[in-house]
Amino acid sequence: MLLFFLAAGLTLTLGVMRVVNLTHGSFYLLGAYAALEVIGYGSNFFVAALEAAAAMVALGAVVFYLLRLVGADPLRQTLLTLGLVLIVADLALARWGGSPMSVTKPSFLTGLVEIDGFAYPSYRLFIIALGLLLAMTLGVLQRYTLVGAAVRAVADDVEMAGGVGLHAPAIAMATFLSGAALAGVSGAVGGAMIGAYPGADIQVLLFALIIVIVGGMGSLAGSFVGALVVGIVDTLGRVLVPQIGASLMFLLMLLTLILRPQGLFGRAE
Amino acid sequence: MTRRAVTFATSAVALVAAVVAPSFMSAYALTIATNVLVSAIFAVSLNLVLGYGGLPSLGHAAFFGTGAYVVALLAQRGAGSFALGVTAATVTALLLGLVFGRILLRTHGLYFLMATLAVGEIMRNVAESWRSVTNGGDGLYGIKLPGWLADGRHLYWFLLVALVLVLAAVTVLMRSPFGYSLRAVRDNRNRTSVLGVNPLRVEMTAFVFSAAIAGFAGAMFAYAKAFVSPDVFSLGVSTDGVLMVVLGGPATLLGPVGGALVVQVIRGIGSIYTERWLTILGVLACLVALDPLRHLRRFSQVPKPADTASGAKGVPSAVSVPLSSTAAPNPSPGQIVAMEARGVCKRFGGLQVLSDISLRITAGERRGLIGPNGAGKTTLLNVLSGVIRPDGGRVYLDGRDITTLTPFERARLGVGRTFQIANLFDKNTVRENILFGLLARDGQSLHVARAVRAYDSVQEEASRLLGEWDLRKWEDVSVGILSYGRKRLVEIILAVAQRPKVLLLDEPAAGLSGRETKEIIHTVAALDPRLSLLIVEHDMDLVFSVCDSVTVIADGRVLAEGTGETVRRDRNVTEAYLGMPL
Repeated sequence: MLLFFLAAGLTLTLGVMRVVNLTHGSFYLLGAYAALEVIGYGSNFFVAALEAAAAMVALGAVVFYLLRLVGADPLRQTLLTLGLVLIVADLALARWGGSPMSVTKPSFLTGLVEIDGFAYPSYRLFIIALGLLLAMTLGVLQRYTLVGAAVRAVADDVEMAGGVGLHAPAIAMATFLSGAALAGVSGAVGGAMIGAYPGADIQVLLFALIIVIVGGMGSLAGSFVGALVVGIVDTLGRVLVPQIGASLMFLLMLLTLILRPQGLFGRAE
Repeated sequence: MTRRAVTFATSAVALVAAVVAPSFMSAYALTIATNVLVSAIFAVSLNLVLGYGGLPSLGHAAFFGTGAYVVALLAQRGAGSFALGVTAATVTALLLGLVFGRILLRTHGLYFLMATLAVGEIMRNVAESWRSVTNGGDGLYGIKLPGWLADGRHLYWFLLVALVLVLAAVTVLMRSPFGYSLRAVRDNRNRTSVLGVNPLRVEMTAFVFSAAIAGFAGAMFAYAKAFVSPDVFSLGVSTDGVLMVVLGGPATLLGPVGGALVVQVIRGIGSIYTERWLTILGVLACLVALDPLRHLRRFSQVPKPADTASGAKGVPSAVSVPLSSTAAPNPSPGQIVAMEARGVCKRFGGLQVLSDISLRITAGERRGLIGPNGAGKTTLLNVLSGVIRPDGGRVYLDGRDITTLTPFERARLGVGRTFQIANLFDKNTVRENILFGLLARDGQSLHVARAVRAYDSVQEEASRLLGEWDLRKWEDVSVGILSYGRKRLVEIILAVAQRPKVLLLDEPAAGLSGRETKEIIHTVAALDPRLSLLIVEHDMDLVFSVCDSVTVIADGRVLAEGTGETVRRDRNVTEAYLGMPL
């Protein structure tokens, strides 16, 4: 579910803007650190998550502006986001150091919940609930509202969307910023589970990219199913065949690319 | 001094400086210099794929790392001879390129980028997890250089020679027909396949060459460091390469070398003075991507129109020069069937675009294909040329079933085509476009050794074609800046130069002015009479003055067929066009 959080944000930017936003993982990492700081000042966990999101929106706006300056060349876009990833990783290392840190969970979510005789950490259940809520909200937004229709129109054909009176750049920006906000929230929420540490940005980015490819670019349903599939494959892989463990999800991605390049839920181009 | 001489002199000075440099260097500086050379070789290999091939790879470390690990593993087993290590590393990377290329090149654009990234990460994970062989994250030690290279300066000079050799190899490659093909595929993939070149094979060749060179670079890295760890596969290695290539200038010979120099020197010197050199590198990457000066540069580079005076006047008369002076008098439309479609059907989703279309074009026939918008004309053309596979029905060329053949296979058998929207290699000159077409026809597109300049007969033929079609003074102009009418002309030459048996022309006059249309009519009329033509066109002047016979389709069915006169009188046809009987 945490994976879905990440992938949902990335699929929005990929599908709508056709930009490989490598900074997505950095948004996550900074989101986690930001939440850490705010909680350090005695703030509530949920307020911290929101503030992390707000901070990432601000940063996202900068990245978006820079991307606009770069233009349409995918190589340049990649290079720009790559440079930003380097800067963020290096500065984060300077500020917060190299050892893993963990966001403090809210106290009422630290215990275990017993269901059917099995004990589950309540925080994980909280993440699952949050993920489902997000999936439903985004799904409804995208499918049934005018905003969703506008986003889909821009994803389909930017010029035409502009032609029928949509302010395409504004919609693209809003989408991009939503993606950044999602990454920020997942940083705060995920930071309490897997922590924040140098290298988490790349790891998180890779997970999100794989899910988006497996699920299909720009498809929320795809991200949802992709996150489930990748999560299960990765966990089972590490348990059953530890030798190749982590490679398994990459193999999954390659298989997808070979057999169904547009992803499980993507549309053929 | 000409530009060439300046370039040559600068390179010579740089080379001399590079040769004598180690004598003035501290041990640390020499280490940096060695890093620069290894990175430069790697960046040059990446440039082959990224710059010349236009394939955005983020996983080139897969080959670099493979080279490094092959050397390390051989050293572990005592088979540490230098020559063996380097050869094995290069060959292994090459083979890996062959395997990965097959998978990766099925994807394009963003997907290729991410797939390559995945491949690099897979390799890193394997190196990390397969502890029994790779010693996991601890890496492998014990890689020894042979005595004659043990001195750091000797290693440096060896690498310098290797870099020069690699650069020479790339120069030869890029001047060869293969180099032309690679750039052509980069600029316009579909067009190359219609010219009879398999784009996948072109990209594959580049990919494999590139993998081999990257493997060599990796091997040298292992020798220089005497140590390998899974980090050689990391995303950082790949992205460093991308940074170097883009920084120095993609698709330039020396750009990646310059990029490697800058990046490694920043890394080397930066890490002395500050811990934050990664930030500097990141800022550098952003600056390169943003390229704040590019608008200025573009402004100063506005291409001068080659000769506006004659361009404005146009050259309507000269195009009527017959293409083949030895052409036999127009044979009466023969009975030999050149191309045939039988019962072709095509459906896009719920829309039946073609239903049961049959069409027969005899040798030397000039057939017009007309019909209202949305009748399925272009779809039919795409089915005939192989861009679209029909849902039902067969396509024959000279009696041979070609329904399942790809566009480039059909092109080789003699199906030529032009596109509705001028579809050329815009960044290349007119001459290069035509050279590329000729080389493709002769099956020389993948030749790697000889410079295109040395293919005398092809060069002569290109000059002759350009002369006949009165395009000599435009030959060194990029196609992208030609007028629309001239682009169409180049497009037709390109198709005709293939010496096809059947030429499919998709709206040759679309978007042209009245005078340009007349030029095109002259041009098409003057084509070799033995060539069968199928012309899709809305301009009835063109159709009725050039074509022997006309087929009318509407709603995916053949409505009428016959000479211009009979078709014009056909009631169904007027109804289809005007919506009512006349």
